[in-house]
Amino acid sequence: MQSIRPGRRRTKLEQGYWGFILIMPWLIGFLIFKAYPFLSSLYYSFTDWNLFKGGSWIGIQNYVTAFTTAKNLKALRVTFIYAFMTVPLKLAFALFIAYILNFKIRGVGLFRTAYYIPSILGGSMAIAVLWRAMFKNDGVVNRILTILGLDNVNFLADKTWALFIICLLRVWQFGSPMVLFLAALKGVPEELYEAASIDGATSGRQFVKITLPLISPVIFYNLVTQLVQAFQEFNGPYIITQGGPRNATTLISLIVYNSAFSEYNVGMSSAMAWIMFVIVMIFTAISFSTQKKWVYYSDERGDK
Amino acid sequence: MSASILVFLIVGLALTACGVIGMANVNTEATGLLAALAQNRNLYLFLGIFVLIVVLYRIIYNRSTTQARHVLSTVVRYLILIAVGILMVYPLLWMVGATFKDNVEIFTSIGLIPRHATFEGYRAAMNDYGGDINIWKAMLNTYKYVLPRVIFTVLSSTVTAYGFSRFNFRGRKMLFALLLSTLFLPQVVLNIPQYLMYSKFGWVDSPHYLALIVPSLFAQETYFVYMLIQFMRGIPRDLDEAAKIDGCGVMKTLVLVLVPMLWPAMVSAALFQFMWSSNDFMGPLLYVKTPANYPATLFVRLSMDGDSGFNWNRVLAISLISIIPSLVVFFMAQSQFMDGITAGAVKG
Repeated sequence: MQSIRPGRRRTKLEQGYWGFILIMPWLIGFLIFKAYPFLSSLYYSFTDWNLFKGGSWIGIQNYVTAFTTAKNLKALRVTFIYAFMTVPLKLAFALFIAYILNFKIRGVGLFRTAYYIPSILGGSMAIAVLWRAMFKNDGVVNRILTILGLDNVNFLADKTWALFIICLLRVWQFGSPMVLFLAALKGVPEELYEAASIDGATSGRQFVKITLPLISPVIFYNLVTQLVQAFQEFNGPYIITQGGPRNATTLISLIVYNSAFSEYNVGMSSAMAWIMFVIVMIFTAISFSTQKKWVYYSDERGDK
Repeated sequence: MSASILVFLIVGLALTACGVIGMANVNTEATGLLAALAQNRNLYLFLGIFVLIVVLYRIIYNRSTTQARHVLSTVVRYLILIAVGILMVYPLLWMVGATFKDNVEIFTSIGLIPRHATFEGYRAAMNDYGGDINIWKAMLNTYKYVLPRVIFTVLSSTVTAYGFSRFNFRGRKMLFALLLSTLFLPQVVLNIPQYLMYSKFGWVDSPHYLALIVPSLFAQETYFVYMLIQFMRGIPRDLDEAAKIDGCGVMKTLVLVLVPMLWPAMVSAALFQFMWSSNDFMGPLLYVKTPANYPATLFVRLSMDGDSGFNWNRVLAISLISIIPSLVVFFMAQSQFMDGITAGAVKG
């Protein structure tokens, strides 16, 4: 009775209850570990819930506080700066290096490995510790600056620089989008470039007119996943700068964590989490709704 | 000479000139602009010389034959790759070197190889912390939940992917849309209610890491489910049908026919889950409270924040030890990693 509609290609999928049984564990998990927490955090955001004492409905009070407190507004701003500094830089780097690696280069494997290691380790505590050691006031980066004859910078205490090194940690991990770009670039047919050079197109023009459109699905994928991740960043600022100096690196995720687990204010924390969720949704929606204009899917990809 | 080269040439010369003027005014009592130039003289010089080198390269390039151009651009490509590669790997190599340096040398030399190699950092790294926990115990704790998580994630994700990609049932489309939507669901929104729920279940600070392990039984890491679905779609259905005709049941078909074909994807999923779980900080931070049960991530932070805040060789040695398993796994299975990331995204 289901899905066998007139005029539709007969599906070869097996019918019956088996499929449902197979996905049952996921569905149960989804309801318990995703759907319920998701909805209950929406509920908490309208309450003054305390981590230990419970609470009651207070309407939109938390949201009003979120948009009127200087600290929260600053966290929103810093999160935006963070996301819009790291994502374009990271993708630009990834594409640039992938573009170079796509030429007939000896030792591609070696370079790819070197560029990819930070992506594997970058999220770990060890690297956060390393970052702190390197950017300390008397750390190795300042030593290098001295040797180059440049002024030392108090990276961890200066508001702008502290945010910069947090961003740098993420840009350093450009390896995983790079591997995706590299795979996409290898998929661009050689004939197209040959035809374009015969027509007299420069390599810059070829890149804009051939390469970019053909790899646009991967650009799109990288953009969406990186944005979603960047808005959620927690480890870097939490460990390296502890949100400081003077909240210059306090991202929304830190406010969410601190409200709930230092101030025990679950209501406020949930409201901030939901604000972040809505922001992420808006950007994902924008990306998806504009993709028809700039993402090029070749015919053989679509369902026939 | 084209206009753009001319502009770059002027910019390069101007920057270099600023640098030189700055140099000349270093020890004078100059004020205002001259003082500013003197202060940042090296920056101007670096930028100026860099721009001039680029301009020079461009001019030579434009006047070369096609063959020479080919050689030139290849050389530049290697130079860029090597320079960026050094920047990428330098922090890690410095870290390895620093673990063998004494605490004075760590911050006075930028070299990678210690002048007076010492094992003091490693010796101190072995010390117990508060009598309950040391690095080895912490590492053991880490893999007590990482390994079950890896195994459960791969198994449950494979079964879920099988259900979605090979069977039709009522509501399949809607459930699949739900599954995909969780790809974009930020974990931050779920953390606090999950915490409240797990504390009701008694999972917070469970010595068996229940809060970290149990959800992986339910295929909740959508990324892997999605990756395996993509892979399974690429396996021809004729194989399943042949198996069915031969009398294989639903599970037998999965185990005997699909799993052997899916194996590379399952290995990739396992590797990624291994890395992500070992690096995971938020999970242990929320759900592991007793120091004796601390995994490596929490132990590293404890040692950094703890009383030995000045023994950086010890802290860095602990950090390095904590990522050695991940590094070993990465080097043993590099190609699976590369295939794994492309599988989830590009094959769509």
